[in-house]
Amino acid sequence: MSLRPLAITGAVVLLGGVLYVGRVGAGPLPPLGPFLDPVRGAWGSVAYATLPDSASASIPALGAGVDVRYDTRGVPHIFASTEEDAIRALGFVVARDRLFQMELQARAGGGTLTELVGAAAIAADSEPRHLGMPRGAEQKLAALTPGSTGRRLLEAYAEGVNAYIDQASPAEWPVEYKLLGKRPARWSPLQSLYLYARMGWTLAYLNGERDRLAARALVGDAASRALFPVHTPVQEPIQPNGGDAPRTDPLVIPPPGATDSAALALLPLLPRGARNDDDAEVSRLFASNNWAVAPARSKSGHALLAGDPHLGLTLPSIWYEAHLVVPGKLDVYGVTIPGSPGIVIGFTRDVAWSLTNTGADVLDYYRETVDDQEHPTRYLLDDQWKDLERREEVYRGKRGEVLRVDTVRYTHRGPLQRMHNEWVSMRWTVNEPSDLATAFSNAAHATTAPAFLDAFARDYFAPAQNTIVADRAGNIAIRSTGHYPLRPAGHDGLSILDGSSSANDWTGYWPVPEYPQAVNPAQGFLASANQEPIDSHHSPDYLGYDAAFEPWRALQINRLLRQNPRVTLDDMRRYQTDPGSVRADWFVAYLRNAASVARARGEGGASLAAADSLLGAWDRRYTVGNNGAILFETALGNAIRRTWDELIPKGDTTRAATPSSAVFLSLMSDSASVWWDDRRTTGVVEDRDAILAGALAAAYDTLVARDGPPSKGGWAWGKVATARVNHLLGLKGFSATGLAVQGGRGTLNPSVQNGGFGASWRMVVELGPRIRAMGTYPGGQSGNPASPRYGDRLRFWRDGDLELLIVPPALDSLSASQVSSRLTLTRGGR
Amino acid sequence: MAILRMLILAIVIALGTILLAWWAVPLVAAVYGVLMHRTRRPGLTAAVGGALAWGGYLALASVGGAPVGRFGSALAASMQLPGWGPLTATLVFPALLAGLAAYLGARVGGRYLTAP
Repeated sequence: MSLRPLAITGAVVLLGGVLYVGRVGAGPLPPLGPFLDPVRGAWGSVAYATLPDSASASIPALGAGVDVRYDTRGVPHIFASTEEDAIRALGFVVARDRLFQMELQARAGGGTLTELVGAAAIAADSEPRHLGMPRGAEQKLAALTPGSTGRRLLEAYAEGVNAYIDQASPAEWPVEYKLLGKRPARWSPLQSLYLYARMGWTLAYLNGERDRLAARALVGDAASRALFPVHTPVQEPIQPNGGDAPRTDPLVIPPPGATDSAALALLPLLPRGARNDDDAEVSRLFASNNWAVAPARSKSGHALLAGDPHLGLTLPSIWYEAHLVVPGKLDVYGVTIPGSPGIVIGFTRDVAWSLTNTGADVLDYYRETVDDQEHPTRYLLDDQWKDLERREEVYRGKRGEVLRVDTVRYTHRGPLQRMHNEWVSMRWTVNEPSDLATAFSNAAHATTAPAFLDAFARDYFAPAQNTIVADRAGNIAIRSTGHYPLRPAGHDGLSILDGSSSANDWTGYWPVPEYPQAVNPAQGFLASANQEPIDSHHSPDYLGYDAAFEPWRALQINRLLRQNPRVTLDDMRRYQTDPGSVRADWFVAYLRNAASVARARGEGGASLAAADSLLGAWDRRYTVGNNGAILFETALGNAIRRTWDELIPKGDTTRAATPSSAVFLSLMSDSASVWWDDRRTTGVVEDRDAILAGALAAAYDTLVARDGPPSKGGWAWGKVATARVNHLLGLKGFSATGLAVQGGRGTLNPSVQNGGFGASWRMVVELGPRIRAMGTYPGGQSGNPASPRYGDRLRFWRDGDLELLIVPPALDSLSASQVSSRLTLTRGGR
Repeated sequence: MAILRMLILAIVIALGTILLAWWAVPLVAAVYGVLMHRTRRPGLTAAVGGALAWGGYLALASVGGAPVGRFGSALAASMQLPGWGPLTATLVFPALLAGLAAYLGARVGGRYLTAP
């Protein structure tokens, strides 16, 4: 028999198989044909690794030509004749550098990630949909009247993005699309609002109700109120209180009470947040610093401003640097979030501003009475049945196929979720109609600090931000800006409310004059770092709760600024990565005292002595080479775990909730409190010093076992607490890990969440006759991993260095050596 | 002569990829197979030509300054492949397409274009 028919058949089958894999893909593999295509596939990224020297493109609705000059740092300077054209161009250039990121982040807010990555994202998509985020975004868009500033900005931005998408060849599409076998989706104003919703979720989805309730279930009401207080026991608020040092307020923590069965029954009604078992302390998902110095305390005699918002670190970075110039109308430089039609943090020729998260409690839960526990159609309100709004949530896959359909019901307050056997609705400012695009735009037109704050407050809604501003006239000001609910008397926002009575509804929002704020304080500087905004002695109003605030970084900034009467711009830069820690200063004293007490009691062995000696030698700074920081962090973590054992439910191994480190500090003042006793040790009742000494010795032993003796170099902070900047999809080859950075928990450059969280943008500005500004972020302007600008700023960020920002007032003021690429945008196209 | 044919075929495949898409590879190779069915091992020639076409394109890009090697390593790490994985796949995939298509094209050519 001839082998030829067999060979032909085999060749046909094999070719068919290769063509199939080429066209459709196999398993996790994308379609190999378009993926490996050296022209249009993944390799296309290398052809577009750098921007061309010169390029031109068109945007259909452009009013007049726009010139874009990319400087030597890859920052586009957009020179347009109208603000809308500038925003169109912004949409174009951001899409050119960050198209995939824009789509991914917007989809994360809109709950449509499954359309990009498939069914694996159903859980991630389900949360925003059940929190009402897509519906909220749609309602915000509907509330913007045609022709309104916000609507025009959102539409102009979308026109710019879509013009880029229409003109980009498949070769120019980001490599992530090719890995996923997808093509870019067109942009609409709604995508920008999804992005805002996502930011709201990141910064304002705080669930203090659950922490306090979980504690109440275990240790009773009185103890839970003390462990999770409304006000922080360590006070140095954003709105200066006239003090020249932080104040620690006494906090009496009653002994653990009996288990509260009522609280236990309520607990399943609240969504459970993610718990990180390894974290001894509350692990913050946000943190930021900003401060301003008045001319009287600056060496140059001009106002200075610094800002570094902290977020999850990603490549590409969450920020994109840009400069928009409309002669005579607008000249604003700063960072935008890809997908947002404007500059979010930055400066003009007159003012500079930055934001930190306020951490306000803007979310309340209501137990609803419904007509049918399984399939409710109505809910009870003031003895009348009201119809529930129903919304079908359709989850689609990568090819448009339906993966799942949910029904989300809404009361007049917001989305209704079935929690355990009850129905709970929520009201959340993030879902309320608002116009953030207008807020940022109006603020960028202000010429003084007070005018900036007023313009910003008019339209800014959520997430609430501590907005600091300095101006060229020498004013410095801060205001915690956002909408804060006015709750019915007697409710502090930390309990689940009865939904059957409208008397429990919010009655409005705080008037702006009551927001925490300050203008030109006598102390000559202002600082915010997520601490409690207003002194608990000065305002009884409920804004938020202790666990959402953090005092340590603010204390350190204030300490640095008080010590320096002639602050320079470079001092501001240095402070952003200052390794000092008030938290370490205060807690180390207790740990060392405990070691002394243990020695006096004849307790503690060689490990405790060695640990005490190391802590004594430590300068309490989180520099990359020191051995003390890891010992302190491990010891404090041990102490916290051993102390709050009462908050571990029976049969569980992790705490149901963890009091803040400020509360832990308060407990230090009562060395014999029953809370110190570790109930898991039998036959012995520990006091403070026994717990602390034991925690310190155990930390030493743990570290020796893990990293060897400290003399061998394995304890160096830069080795054990590195930062990581992961790619948005977690792709290892496109991530940067193992970055040795200076800073740790409680320092101005916090390194928490296993190093995946930190300063996402650093900026310092001097507001003299001529603006001087420096900045950087952990990443680069390009979202293309093949580009030299993908991660070119990482080294600056890691080392605490900043780059001088180029801020040309006009097109012709950029020298040829400052320009790396030109882009001319004209009206045209489809 | 065979090498010259292979080089010309590689150029045509590269042009086909640039002007059309990846599926130009089997298309061009099949035509080559039909036309060159009398030559020795047209499938093998096409396979090498296919690999040469795509590999040559990347080599030229690299010579022009494109970061092919660095990006290939990053891409490999992102796909949990060895560092040489993406580049090898980029050579093997067109080689398979071109080789098989040319082989089958030659069979068709031999069946229908050969004078009795």
